[in-house]
Amino acid sequence: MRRILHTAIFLLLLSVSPALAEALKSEGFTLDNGLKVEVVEYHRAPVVTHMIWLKTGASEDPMGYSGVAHYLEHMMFKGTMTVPDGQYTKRIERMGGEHNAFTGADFTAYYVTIAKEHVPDVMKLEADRMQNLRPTGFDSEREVIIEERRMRIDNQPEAMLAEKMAARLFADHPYGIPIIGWKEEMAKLTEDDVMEYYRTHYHPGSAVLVLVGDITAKEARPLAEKYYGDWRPASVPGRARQAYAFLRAAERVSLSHPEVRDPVWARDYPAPGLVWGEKKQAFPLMLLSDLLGGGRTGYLYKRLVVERKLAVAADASYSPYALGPATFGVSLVPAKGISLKRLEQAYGEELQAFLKQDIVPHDLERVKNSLKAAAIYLRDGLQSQAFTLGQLLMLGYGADFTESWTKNIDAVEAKDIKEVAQTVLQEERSVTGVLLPGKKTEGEK
Amino acid sequence: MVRFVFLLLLFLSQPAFALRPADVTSKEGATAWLVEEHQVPAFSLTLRIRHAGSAYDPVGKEGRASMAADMLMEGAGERDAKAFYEALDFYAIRMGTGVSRDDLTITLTTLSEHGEEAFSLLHDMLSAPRFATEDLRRLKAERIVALRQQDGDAGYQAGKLFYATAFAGHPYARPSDGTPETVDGLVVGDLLAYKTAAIRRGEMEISVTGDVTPAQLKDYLERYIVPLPGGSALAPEPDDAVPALARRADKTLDVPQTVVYFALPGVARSSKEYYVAYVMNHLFGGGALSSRLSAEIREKRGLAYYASSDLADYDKAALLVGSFATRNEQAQQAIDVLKETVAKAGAEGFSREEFDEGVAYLTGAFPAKLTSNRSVTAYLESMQHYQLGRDYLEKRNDYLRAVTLEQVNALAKSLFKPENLLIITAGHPVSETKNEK
Repeated sequence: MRRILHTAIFLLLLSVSPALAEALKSEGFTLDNGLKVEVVEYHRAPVVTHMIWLKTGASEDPMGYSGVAHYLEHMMFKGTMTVPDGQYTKRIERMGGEHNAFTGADFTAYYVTIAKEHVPDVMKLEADRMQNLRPTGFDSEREVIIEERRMRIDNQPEAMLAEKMAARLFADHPYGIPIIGWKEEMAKLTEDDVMEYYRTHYHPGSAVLVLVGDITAKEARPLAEKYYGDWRPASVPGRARQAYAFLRAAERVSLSHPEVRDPVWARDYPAPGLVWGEKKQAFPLMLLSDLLGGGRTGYLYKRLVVERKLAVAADASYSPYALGPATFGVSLVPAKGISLKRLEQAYGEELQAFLKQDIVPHDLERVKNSLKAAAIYLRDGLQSQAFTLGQLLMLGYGADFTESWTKNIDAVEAKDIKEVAQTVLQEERSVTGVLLPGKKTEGEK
Repeated sequence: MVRFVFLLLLFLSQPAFALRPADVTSKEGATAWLVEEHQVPAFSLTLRIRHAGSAYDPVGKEGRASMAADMLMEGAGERDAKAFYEALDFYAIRMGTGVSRDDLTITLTTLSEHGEEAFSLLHDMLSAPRFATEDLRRLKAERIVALRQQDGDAGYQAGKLFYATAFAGHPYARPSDGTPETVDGLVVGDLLAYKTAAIRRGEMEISVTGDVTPAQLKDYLERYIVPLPGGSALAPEPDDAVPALARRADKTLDVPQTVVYFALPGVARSSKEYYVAYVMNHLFGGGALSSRLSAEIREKRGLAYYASSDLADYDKAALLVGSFATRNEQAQQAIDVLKETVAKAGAEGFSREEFDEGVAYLTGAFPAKLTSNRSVTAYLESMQHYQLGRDYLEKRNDYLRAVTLEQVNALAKSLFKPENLLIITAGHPVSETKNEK
């Protein structure tokens, strides 16, 4: 009884707490050459994260040249006209900087976290490699990225299955091609291919500089002007994305592998994201994924693992941060002695049951609370803020997105979630993947 | 000259930024280290319980500590498993448990307005976990499938074989997650025995960073930590381990890439020589892209995506452990490069330039490591565990600056002996010619 009362009081507090209204705050400006700069002040230590984002990624890999965006990202560390190979990392580290980069389907980003007094030096190095790349060591770095592929995909049967499922779900859309590339195509990539991608896509008009830390927009502007001001603008090719065509019939892929001991079942559905499709469905979909999947509290876990004992694991996943269609995924691991066929059937039954039932208000509140808190937790740390803001900017949003985060979550009603579940979780639009023990075969049925 | 000015600048900039944890002690002597930080309305906590790791699993009960750690969250106090997890979600408390060879560690991050609930749940799981038979069955089934899946995972198998080989005959050798057979054999009584033996207030180290005041934290400690069972762990500590190096062990798997682990003698965190070893390891394999090892294996030869090493510290052993992954056909070549790199570091040591740059990096990069609650809490944890002193965050860079190149090279000469290397592979290393058929 005491606990119930306690909960009620907290509900009240939750809705009025001023702390929850705070969000990422950024101040931005644009240079004459089109480079956008956004600054988030975070004065916890005399340190700044300098993160430059480019609105180009693996989706811009030309047909037949998969992996070139990611290969270029690696080559960006291997020398410019004035900074020879090996010197970039050396100089950054001598200043105590941590640096890395990553390539996504829709964007590429480079970051350095460094003591405030070295921000000008970092800007100089970053602006230089954005304009004057002249790398060496193409052959050995090609081996490095192929090893990276082996590590992430070819040694991991589950990753191989995911790659096959995406290839089927997205068919001709660029998301069907792995970011890291198909091995056969990676092996043929040349210096010219890399440099061609660089010249085509790395321009100030497609870049956004995000600065987070012990720095103000007022301090950042003259520095950005000085170091990035000469970056010559050029026409940026439009991001011609293929329209996505839904599958007309459910598809299946199966993969057998000698190092798989027990089967795994997965299903991917295309879903609206923050840009593609019905954007307003993104929040209901995030909540749906927590209600259905969501660790030990999800509906599928409760029904298939705890109550019916047909599975040992049940998860759902969804992330709306994509320019194109997002993926809503479900994965299940059968319990001992349970066939995939039986498990798949049970999943179908449970999904129908979920769609028929009312969502329990307390459950909805629980997943909402958890999602709302994410916007607060991300403000603790430099890189989480730089990453979140940069990603939003790449998708055409800004820091104000985090301000409306709570409001957007609060606005979702149970019926919205039911509606998106009905729309998105359609079997005929999905790809089902199964991973099986056995000899190496990649089949389709 | 230029470098001198640069180091001086770094040094001068240092005192402007310093964190010193406050010691929060309750009436009954429960202690926590706290760094207050009120920018974000949340705080992070780490609770380490010493002498509660997998090394204390009884023979034949491998996986006990690790299953107990998982089961702590499957219901406690008034809540069954579902209610416990739902409460965590409802209050947006992110919590996790895990065991190492030596310890049990619980981490949590909570909004400060739900600090009360977070501590209450923490108290319940440590004092009154449900350990329900049906929940244990469910988690065992999940674990057994996961272990079987990892049976084919090169990274997991290399790690497992590393422990089994390096610590043969010592409790550290046994698999922390257990085996399908030992996990299957665990019963509720085993978990209760673990709880009684291991979850003791005298073994707890609590570190907190974020939006909580000393008075609030003291109150939480008094109400939620003090009532936990007191005293020390009941199980005797294992003997010191004498790692078995200078050998090779291979696990064959049908995958295209071989994962290689290697080890050499290390230096304990509590040793006076630790900072020398820390700099030495950084130069050898600690720096992600700039180290000797990465230069030889990745940058010059493209043999692997990563190649790195770290100082691994256990209560009863210290090692320098590293790893890389490379396609089967060139695994032997990469191992040969590793041996040459070790031999060269031992025979010739490191250059003045490498050393100066390494120290500049390690000291310069430190403030950035203190910019989130989670990362500061991790430092507080080490400071308590290894008794580094409350002024450690202020002095840490001085400790590193006091290290000399001569010390580093003398240590390298004694540790970097290729004949001492322990080499572990998981995959299918084959010779180039064999593969061409």
